[in-house]
Amino acid sequence: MATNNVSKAVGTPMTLSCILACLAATLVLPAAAELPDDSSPDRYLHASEVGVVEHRLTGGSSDAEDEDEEEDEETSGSRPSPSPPREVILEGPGEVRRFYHKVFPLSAPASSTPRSVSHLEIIASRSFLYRHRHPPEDYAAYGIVAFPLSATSASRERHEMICEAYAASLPDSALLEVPVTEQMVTVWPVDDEEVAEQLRVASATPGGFSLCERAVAHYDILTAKHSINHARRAGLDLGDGRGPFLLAWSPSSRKGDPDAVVLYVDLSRYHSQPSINAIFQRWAMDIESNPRLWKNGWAMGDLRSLVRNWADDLGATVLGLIERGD
Amino acid sequence: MKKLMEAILLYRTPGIACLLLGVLFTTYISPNTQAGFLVLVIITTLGLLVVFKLVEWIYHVYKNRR
Repeated sequence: MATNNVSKAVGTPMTLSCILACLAATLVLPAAAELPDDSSPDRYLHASEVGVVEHRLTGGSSDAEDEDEEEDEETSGSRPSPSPPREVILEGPGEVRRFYHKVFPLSAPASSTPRSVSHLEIIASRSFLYRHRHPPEDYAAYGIVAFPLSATSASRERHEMICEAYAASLPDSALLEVPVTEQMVTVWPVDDEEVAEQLRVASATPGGFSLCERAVAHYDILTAKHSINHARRAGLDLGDGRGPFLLAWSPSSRKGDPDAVVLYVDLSRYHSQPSINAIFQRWAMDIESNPRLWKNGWAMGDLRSLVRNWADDLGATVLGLIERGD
Repeated sequence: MKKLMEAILLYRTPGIACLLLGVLFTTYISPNTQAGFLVLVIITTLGLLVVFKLVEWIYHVYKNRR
């Protein structure tokens, strides 16, 4: 009876306060939990901003001078880049500078023709490459789909699922009109040169993902293991997850360097095609639009995507159990 | 059966509120599959009800002490 009274006394205000709290959380959380996009100019750098720094650093001045120049330009406001505003660089200056110097100074050759800042962007692409071509040096950045284990009869289906998401979400490097120096290529390593060539041709042909069966069968585990080791050497804690890991270095020549900045995503917990597709889509989108993510590795494990993935997996399991019961 | 009906009536208002909150939260999370959506709504609703019950119990203990 007492409980009943308490419930009556507490129930209505509790319910109202819960609803208000949840509404407030719904309004506030997206900004806090999600990785901000280009529309949040006070936190992120646009690719065009990176381009500005890239050209200045390759112009032959020292790092210290560049920092001074950055400060001068930040305060004077004379740079012609309209978006995002200059305050971006002032917000967390240490981090941003580190990002500039560690990641982008070497990505464009000093002799390259100066281009309009607004046109300089990093484009995500893909390529099936033979092991001896790793890492490809011309690209602005180099990424790899690194499985810690080759496909087994039990895991083959998942490997193919990942390959299909890879092929569907990233454009083939050869099909892009932009030069390779402006591409961030994500590579699927292949253990046979001939097969790699065949896959590249098939991959550049629109339609059909039958190439994934061969790509999985000829996956080059040696290159993958090297890449995982290099990522670990750079300080990434990849745990003992079953992967795969999306790993990237910029420029590609920094691969293996203990001080290199590595962009990474762990796909160990992703099992369904929609969630894996979403990860690859986001990988491509974030490479192109949020270069600041390169700073210290990619904080992919934000709460929202983790819960989404968990719900998808659990939903599929429950559905499977119900179907089995029928 | 009677007890169940009483429990349902007792928790009707918080139950509906928790369900609404569950749907709201699940919409925000936006799972990729319908099964994921359904599972998340159920889990969130039950979780919120448990939290509600816990808060109610704490309040009851606190009130009795005073």
